[in-house]
Amino acid sequence: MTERFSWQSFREFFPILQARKGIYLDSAATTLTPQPVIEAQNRYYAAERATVGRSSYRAATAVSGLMEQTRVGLAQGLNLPTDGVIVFCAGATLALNMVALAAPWQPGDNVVATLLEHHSNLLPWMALRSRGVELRLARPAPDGALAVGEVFRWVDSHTRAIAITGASNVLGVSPPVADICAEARRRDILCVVDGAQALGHTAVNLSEMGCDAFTASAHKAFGPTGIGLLALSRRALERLSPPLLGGGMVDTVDGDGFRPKPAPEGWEAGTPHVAGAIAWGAALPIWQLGVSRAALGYVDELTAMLLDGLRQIEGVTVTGPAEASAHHGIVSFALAGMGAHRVGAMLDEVFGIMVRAGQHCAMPLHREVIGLPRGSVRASLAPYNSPEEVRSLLEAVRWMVKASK
Amino acid sequence: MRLNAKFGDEIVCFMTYSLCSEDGIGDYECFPHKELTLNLAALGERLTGLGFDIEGVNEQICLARKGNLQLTAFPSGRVILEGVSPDAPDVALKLLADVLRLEETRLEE
Repeated sequence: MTERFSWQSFREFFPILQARKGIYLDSAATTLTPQPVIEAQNRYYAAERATVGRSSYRAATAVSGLMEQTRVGLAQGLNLPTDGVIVFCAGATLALNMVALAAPWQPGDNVVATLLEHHSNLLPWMALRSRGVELRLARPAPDGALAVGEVFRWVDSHTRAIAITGASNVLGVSPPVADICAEARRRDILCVVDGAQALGHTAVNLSEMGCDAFTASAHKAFGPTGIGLLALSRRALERLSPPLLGGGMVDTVDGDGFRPKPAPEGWEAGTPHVAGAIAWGAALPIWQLGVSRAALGYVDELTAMLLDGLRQIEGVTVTGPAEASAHHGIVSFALAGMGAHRVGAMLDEVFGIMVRAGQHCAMPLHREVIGLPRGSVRASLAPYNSPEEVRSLLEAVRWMVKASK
Repeated sequence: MRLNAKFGDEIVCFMTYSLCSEDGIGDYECFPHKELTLNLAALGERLTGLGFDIEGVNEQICLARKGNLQLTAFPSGRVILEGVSPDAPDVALKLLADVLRLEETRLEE
């Protein structure tokens, strides 16, 4: 039996839900910010301000400690293997670019990704073409289902990395990442997981996943903007070199060269986003509540309500898998005869409902998999959404379909 | 890209975002630097004169279509143009200028 979840209590963490009018259904783009995160960030700037790691006064030591608390909390929350490390960076996009820049590519190498990917997990690999590295794209079924065999159909002896999403930002669907990582490891191929969407909408367990690199952004999991993580396995650390160079990441420098510090410091060149790291720490208890079994079960119930309602409206095309729980709170759809941007703008201007319209940084997926080359409307749910908000969206869509006839 | 133009008695700067680009056809959002008060009924009549089919118009929204071009306008001056061909921001802004009957227009990169 599903443990009951109080969305009303969860909602109270988020002051913007009282301060701003409208219905927020765009949590796949960014989640709202809970009060403890706002307070932690403000406290840093108002009362704790110092840099980390390289100053000789207590205030600096104190904020270094707070930042490391976040790192430890993330490692625990993600069940990071004991020999893995968490590197702070600006977000999942930067983290994916860092991995692409960090590997010792040789002309003739290839990377296998999928048509499910966000552009952030395509373009960094695509750009390696200039170094003679080929990008191959495995094709999911129209509902987003991806077979392990389809991924490995593209793998050969020159494949150096498999780059795959933890959860699609358009369809919500999660590929069988653990199985793919296990097979990649068996073939001695690095497995890179874009966890941007998975972090805030699924229960991530890196020990079970078994990937070599996992990337995520705090702002998609109730944390602040501008900070994210790159979790690296021991195997990845042995094969990759720090791609960003500068202050704070070296042990020694002389006229002949430098020796980087071990990770994570060796991968964190420059002054980090200290305020963001500390504020992210304040988000962790709320994130863990938001991805608890009870909360995810509640989001599945909302998703089922939305899917059932949309499927009953004539002229609405709903993308993604049949079962609600596979959507992870994301429902992308299209209305016959109406551009996605018209629908999105009408939902906003007429009904006060905030959704995403367009291709959601996933052009190949829209064009080649789901058959909506000009984009879709995406409603994405979080545990702070109410059943009434879902009903309002359904009512608005019914009104628009009726009005367009 | 932005368009400075006279709207009524004042100079307004209209900005544009590319929303989608596919096969030489683009979708654009155009919006003024400050909220306007468009008379959507009058806009509907003007669009009819420009060869658009009116799909719906009320105080909140104006929906119109001309061939593959779909126009959605709101009283604030926010206008969504879907199906702009050729796909270029200046084409979208020139369409906007025609539709809103903007005068003394000047395009800026």
